[in-house]
Amino acid sequence: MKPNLTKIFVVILLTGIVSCSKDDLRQYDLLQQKNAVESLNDPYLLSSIIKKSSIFYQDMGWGNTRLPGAAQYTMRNYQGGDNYYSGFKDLPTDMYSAMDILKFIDASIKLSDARGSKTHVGIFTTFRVLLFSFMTDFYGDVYYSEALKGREGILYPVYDKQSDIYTGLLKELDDASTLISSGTETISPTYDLMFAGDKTQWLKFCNSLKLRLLMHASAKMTDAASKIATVAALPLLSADADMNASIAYVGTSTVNSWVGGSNNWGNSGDFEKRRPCKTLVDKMISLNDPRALVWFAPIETPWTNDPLKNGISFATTDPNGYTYSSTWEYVDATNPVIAAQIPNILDVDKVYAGFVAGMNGDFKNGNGHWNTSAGGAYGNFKVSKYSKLFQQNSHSLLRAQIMNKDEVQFILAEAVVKGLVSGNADTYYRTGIRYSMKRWGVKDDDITTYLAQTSIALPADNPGKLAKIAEQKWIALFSVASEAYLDLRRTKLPDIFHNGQLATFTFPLRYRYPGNELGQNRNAYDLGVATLSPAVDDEFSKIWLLQ
Amino acid sequence: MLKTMKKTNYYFWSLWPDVNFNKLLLPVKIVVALLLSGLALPAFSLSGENLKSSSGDLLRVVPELQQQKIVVSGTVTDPLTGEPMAGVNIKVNGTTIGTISDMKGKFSLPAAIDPNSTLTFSFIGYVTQEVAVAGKTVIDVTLVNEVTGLKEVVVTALGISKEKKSLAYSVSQIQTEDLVKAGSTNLMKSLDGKVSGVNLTSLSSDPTSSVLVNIRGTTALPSTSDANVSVKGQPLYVIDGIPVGNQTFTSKNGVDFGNILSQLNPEDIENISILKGGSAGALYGSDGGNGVVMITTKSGRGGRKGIGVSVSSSATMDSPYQFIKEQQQFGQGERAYEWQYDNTDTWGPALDGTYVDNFWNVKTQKWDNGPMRSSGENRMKEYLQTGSTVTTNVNISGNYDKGSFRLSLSNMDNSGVMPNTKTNQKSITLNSEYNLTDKIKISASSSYVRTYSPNKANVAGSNSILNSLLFNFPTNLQPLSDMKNYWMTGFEGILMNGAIQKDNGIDKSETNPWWRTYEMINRFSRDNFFGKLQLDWKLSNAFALMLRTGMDNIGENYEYRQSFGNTAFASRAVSGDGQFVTNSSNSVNFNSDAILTFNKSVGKFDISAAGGVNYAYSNSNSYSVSAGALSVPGLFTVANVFPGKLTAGYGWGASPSYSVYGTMDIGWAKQIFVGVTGRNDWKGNLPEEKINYFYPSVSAAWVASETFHMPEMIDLLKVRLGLANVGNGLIRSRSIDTYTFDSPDWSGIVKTANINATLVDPDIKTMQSITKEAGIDVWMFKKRLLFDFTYFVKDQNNQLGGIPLVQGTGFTSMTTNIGDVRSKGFEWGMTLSPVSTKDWNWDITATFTHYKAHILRLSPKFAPNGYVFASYDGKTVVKIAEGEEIGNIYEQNPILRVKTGKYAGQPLLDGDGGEFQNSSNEKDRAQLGNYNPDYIVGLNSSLRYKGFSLNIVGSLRKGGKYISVNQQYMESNGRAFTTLGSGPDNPWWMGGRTPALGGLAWPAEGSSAYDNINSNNDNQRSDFNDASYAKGVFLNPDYDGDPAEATDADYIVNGADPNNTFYQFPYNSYGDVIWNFTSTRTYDATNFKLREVSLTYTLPVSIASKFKVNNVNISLIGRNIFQWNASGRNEDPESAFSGVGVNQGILRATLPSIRSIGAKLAFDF
Repeated sequence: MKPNLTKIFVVILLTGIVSCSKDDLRQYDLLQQKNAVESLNDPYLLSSIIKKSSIFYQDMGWGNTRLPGAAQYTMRNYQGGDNYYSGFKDLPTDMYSAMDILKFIDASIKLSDARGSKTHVGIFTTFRVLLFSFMTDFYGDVYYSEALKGREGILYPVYDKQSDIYTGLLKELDDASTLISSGTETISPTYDLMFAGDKTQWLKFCNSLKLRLLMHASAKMTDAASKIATVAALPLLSADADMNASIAYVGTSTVNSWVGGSNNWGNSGDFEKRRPCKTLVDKMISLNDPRALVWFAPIETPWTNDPLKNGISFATTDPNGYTYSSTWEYVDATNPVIAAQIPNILDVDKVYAGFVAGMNGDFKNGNGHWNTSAGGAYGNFKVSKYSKLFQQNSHSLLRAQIMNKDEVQFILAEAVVKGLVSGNADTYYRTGIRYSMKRWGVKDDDITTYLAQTSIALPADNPGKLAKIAEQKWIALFSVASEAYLDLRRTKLPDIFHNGQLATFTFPLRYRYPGNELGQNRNAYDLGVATLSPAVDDEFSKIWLLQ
Repeated sequence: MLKTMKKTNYYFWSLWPDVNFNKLLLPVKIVVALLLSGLALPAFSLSGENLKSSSGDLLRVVPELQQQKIVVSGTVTDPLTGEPMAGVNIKVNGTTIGTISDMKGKFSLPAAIDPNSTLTFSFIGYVTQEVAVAGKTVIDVTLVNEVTGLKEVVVTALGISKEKKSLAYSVSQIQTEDLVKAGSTNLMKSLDGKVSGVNLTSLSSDPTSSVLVNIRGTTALPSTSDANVSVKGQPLYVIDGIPVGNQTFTSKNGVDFGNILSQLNPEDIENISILKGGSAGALYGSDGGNGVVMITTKSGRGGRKGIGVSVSSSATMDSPYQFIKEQQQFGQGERAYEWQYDNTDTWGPALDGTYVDNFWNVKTQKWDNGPMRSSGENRMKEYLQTGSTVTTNVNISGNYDKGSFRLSLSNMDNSGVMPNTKTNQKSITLNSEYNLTDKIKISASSSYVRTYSPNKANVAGSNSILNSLLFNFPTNLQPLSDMKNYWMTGFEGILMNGAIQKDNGIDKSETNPWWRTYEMINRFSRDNFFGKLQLDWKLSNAFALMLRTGMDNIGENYEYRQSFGNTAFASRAVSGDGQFVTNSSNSVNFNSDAILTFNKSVGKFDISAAGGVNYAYSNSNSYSVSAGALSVPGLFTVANVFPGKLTAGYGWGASPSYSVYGTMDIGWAKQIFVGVTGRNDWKGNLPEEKINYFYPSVSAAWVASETFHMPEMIDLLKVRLGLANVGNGLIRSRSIDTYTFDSPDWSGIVKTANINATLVDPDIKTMQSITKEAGIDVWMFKKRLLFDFTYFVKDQNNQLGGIPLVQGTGFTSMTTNIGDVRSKGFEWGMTLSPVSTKDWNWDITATFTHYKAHILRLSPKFAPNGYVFASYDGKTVVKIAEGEEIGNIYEQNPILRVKTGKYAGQPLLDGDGGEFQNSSNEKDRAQLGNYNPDYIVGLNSSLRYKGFSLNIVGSLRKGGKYISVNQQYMESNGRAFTTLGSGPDNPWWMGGRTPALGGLAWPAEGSSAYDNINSNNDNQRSDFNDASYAKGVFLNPDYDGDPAEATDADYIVNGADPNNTFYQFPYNSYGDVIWNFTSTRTYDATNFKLREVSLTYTLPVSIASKFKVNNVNISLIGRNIFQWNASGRNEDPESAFSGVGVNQGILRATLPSIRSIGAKLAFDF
């Protein structure tokens, strides 16, 4: 027997067992990090909410073609169901994207409230209203009072009536403005991506948003006139010195770049698939709108009826300094390929032309583009592309927009004409145009020239005024297509519903509920559908606002 | 004292016979002289006839026998081959005299023995035989093979060996020779076809791929966030008693890098025990809920005395077969009269040479103009190469009285069928044990395994080269051999020479596959150390103590390098190009047990019990740095990152667990066996996470053949029952919101954050896994027929998981007890030895596996509708509902159909273009099928004639369905033969690409009464007759009522009246629409695989001994020689995954079948 050896081995084994015992440092890390990851300071909450909401809105306004297509700003040159509203047939899940942001906002409100950061709570509440208003405007009855209460045990929230949601949202905005005013903490100028820590601007944004919502519901609310009048008297994003509710892009990664910029492309085709719509291009060219030169690129090989110009090239430099080269092509009826395209050639001797509204998205469609082997699947040389500005990842003119102050002016102009508030509609209207043009870098002289045209002046009759205001608002809302769509739906102005190939397509009035609602939240869904007119969950049924 | 000793002659020997003192017949005086010489021998005293040491009976002295002794010798021969057997242990009973037979089977006892003694002959794998000497001096013996059977011992939980006869549950054990017969380098792949009750699924046909193991069917509930139940239901793996967790696979960038099991060298494995039932695995607690795979590595014990060396080497050629076929008649474009140069769809013009156009000549790197023709090559076949696998194993074992060791070295080089892919595996294993005393044994084992792949390719899913070759390579492109120069000349490393270039001549429009092969590199290494230290102490006859601590350390390094060439040239200045990703992870697991065992027989009762404690701790950390784009080409460093494209990640985890467990087996009269086990676990880090669980099990077996007199032919009849309840050891999750900062930051000075909200049901309960099994074992005809049958019911109740919530709650899911899943099934195994003679031996083994698992109950908190669809591969969904069978797949987008009237069931086409429409109503989603087979049959035949043996392993999987994404893209891109023309039997579509293929004439302009139809047809009309239409009905465009109330008269049948038919050209109607509908490409997964064939010749000892070697085996081996698919398609339904182990049942761009043929040589010396 060698008992000592045995003992030694037992000791070695026990040492082994004990020495590989728990890692005390890790245990400490766990406890320490627990607190750090379960909270966040106000500036981070603020930057995150601004970023999430702005990017979400800009994605609807430009990134996705469903709404830019419906508003006839953008037509897809490739697989273009959105050219004729077919994106509305799907079950858009934007509601859920908004809910994700709302979850963050609600959690932020709790954290900031516990710290007594009233101004921040007010700002966060403003965004909360913004996103809930998006949901109800697009879907109809949605979650509101029972929303975001999973931890309180509400696993299957019912929808609130749209009228109740509107009442609730307006009330929340009242509370928000009180909170913003009464808060005493500072707002980090660096982390406030939108208004650089200026509390007054936040207050004005809160009021402006209220004005927007009241206008959305003006036809349904009995006291709309008095409410709008009250809000119109509050500070709004309306002065020259005021900022827009939008943020600048940084342009270094996919998440902080302009949604149309190269950082967000799979390839350059992603840019070329999107073309300005003929409706927009023709209207702006006819009005000599200087913004057209900022937005659109000259056609690469424009058609000409002049055989002498055939093959002659010319260069164009746009207001932002981007250059383009174009070469005229003669509509040569002796060339059988071109002759076959003549019925499709709509724009001749024009440097700017758009893609016809409602066309099947296909390389061949649009102004008789025939050289398909050179053009490829989306290289149409007969229709304008967007200017190179829209390829940039960041640019001073490209911002992620929620609401611009020109929109406020146009709402006020409309309200005056409709007799909801007093004031001078023409002043609001012209200020709106001016703000929009300045936003796109147009020089003051050019604005003055533009405004001096008779084609810009408001007519005498009210319907004429409303149409003209709507037309300019529609142009101004370019790249803010979500609001443009809501206006088209609400006012049916400007009347663009039968342009191009759209005669046989019905303008959709809402988003269908996301698929999961039908499967998982059937009771709520059924009640929501029941208040539609007709009570069918499709894109043509009317929500309360439109009933 | 000395005086007394002088009187007699004594001889003595050590208690350990190998010391060979017994050869020395020493006079006592020499002994005494030795003792007195001061050697380290203890003091002695003479007690009677024994020379006694003061510290015990180390030496025993007996008087020299008076009787005349004889010297015995003889020969030992093998019963089957008749060849002499070397290395047989021969021992004289009651003495320590013994020897072993030499190369020629001859033995000669080293000492003269009593003529009345008995000799014991023993050799592994043969029945130990006792022969009475009875005065003979020459004893020739033929041993008898030990039939798998009565005395068989299997390794059970905690590494406790038990006699198979006494087990009350089903255990499958596979011995080393069955694993290595066909020279497989992949341990788990070599199990296929050999065990019942287990479904082994290879992630791909690649010999190095990972294998998913589902024992008796997975009872994991799919959840909306994770519907991959086959991955969730993995068993616990235990190597030499040390649990190493539920292994799945390491997937990096879509490349399967295996796991620590795929690294194990099959030659080092002694056996694998699969504990299938709950009772078997209950001692491992919740980790063992899906069954346990116990792997025992070889030790030097039990082998030949002294040093032995064995060498084996095998080499195989791996060649792919069964390639998917695609049409080669039509080229790029959307219509047969119109070429589209940069469209990779092949709905374009016929490639009969009449169509002439510009094309990028990849070989000369110039734009050429010429007739368009098909390259005529099957791209996959051209691309893949013959791979090879070469393995070498050398092991040295030593077996001594005091202990043993085994040192094993192995090297495996695999060159893949994917060009430029390689895997190298090296392992060094040292197992040793040493008997400190006759009561105390210590053993240590240690392994170092390294796997290194300089590059391994993605072979499954959307990111693989195969995907690109199958779907993005128009047949008219040049042969792959013309594309080998994948850099633009003069711009090496910077500009790719694309398979298709853009018209600017600079940027690629389609990636060159060789660029993908050589410039997208996935480099991986894994270093794995594992080992244990164990002490076994026999405290008394009844009690024994075992202390064991084991460690498993895995370090992994991964690098992804992508060269410049993929980003448009003009965009590089703003977005960079190339990519560099590096990540590294390290994990260490400790597992320590102290187990006290008790064994005693009291009367007719045999009692064995064990109690132990376990402490386990794991600690892991990982970091990753990713340069999403690089600044300059060819420099793969993090510092070369393009501005703003750096992301980094770091994570760690740690989890302690403490357990106590106990087990007791009571046997009565060797006919009734009852076993109980219990285990309690304590887990959790933070105070509020801590939790403990207790899980018991009970099992019983009755050997009826011991109780009743059975007919002669029945050797054993056993009935067994088992019941176990295993709790879940998950820590108690907290219901909290946490925040993480976004990466990358919003800007250099502003950070943004995201919220991660977890919602945990406050009423959450422990999960229970309850298994019941009943079985019968019958052994007949002197064990020539062995049969076992087990019926089982496996319930997984109160499963923890996330129930999906609508986002209106603010949460995507809530962790709660979702529901119960029950798997029911049966398995049987049969071994038949129809022929067993001296020269011939034939064994046939068959295994059968059948199970079905259903969702029995769902939580009342689940969706009010009672069902939810979990997203699966995008075109399919999985339904979570009561009564639902696990593995069912549903279509995501059903075809919208008419609900009532005479057109009920007909597709309802849309009113704008006459195309099929999706139904948005979830209730219209039809079940496509279930990916699990109805049953699996494994067949194993082993035929031996003298030195030759032929082994064949095959497996049949009957039933099950898979969905071919291959077909989806081949349809969408115009590659499938079905897209050429509709033919008479096409249920969906009428028409064709050309008039000859059934293309219809376009109606005249304005010929329809309806604007919509005219507008649609005018938009697509050409003077080329390629009109086609979808088969279905549409609502009369003039009907303006509620579509739900339409009557038969309101529908128009598309195609019935050519003037009122929505026509589409084939690309639009087929390529753009039909491919959306999964029901059109669901196929039968039934298949048979001839998995292994090996022909081995064992060199006769007489010849081998001339070369001083032993056990020489020369084999011709073949694996996966042949495959038959019921669907007739060249796709392997078993590797139907949409990515690495993702979405079983969905087949996308996988490798074709791979046949391995080679040779193996093994010998000892």
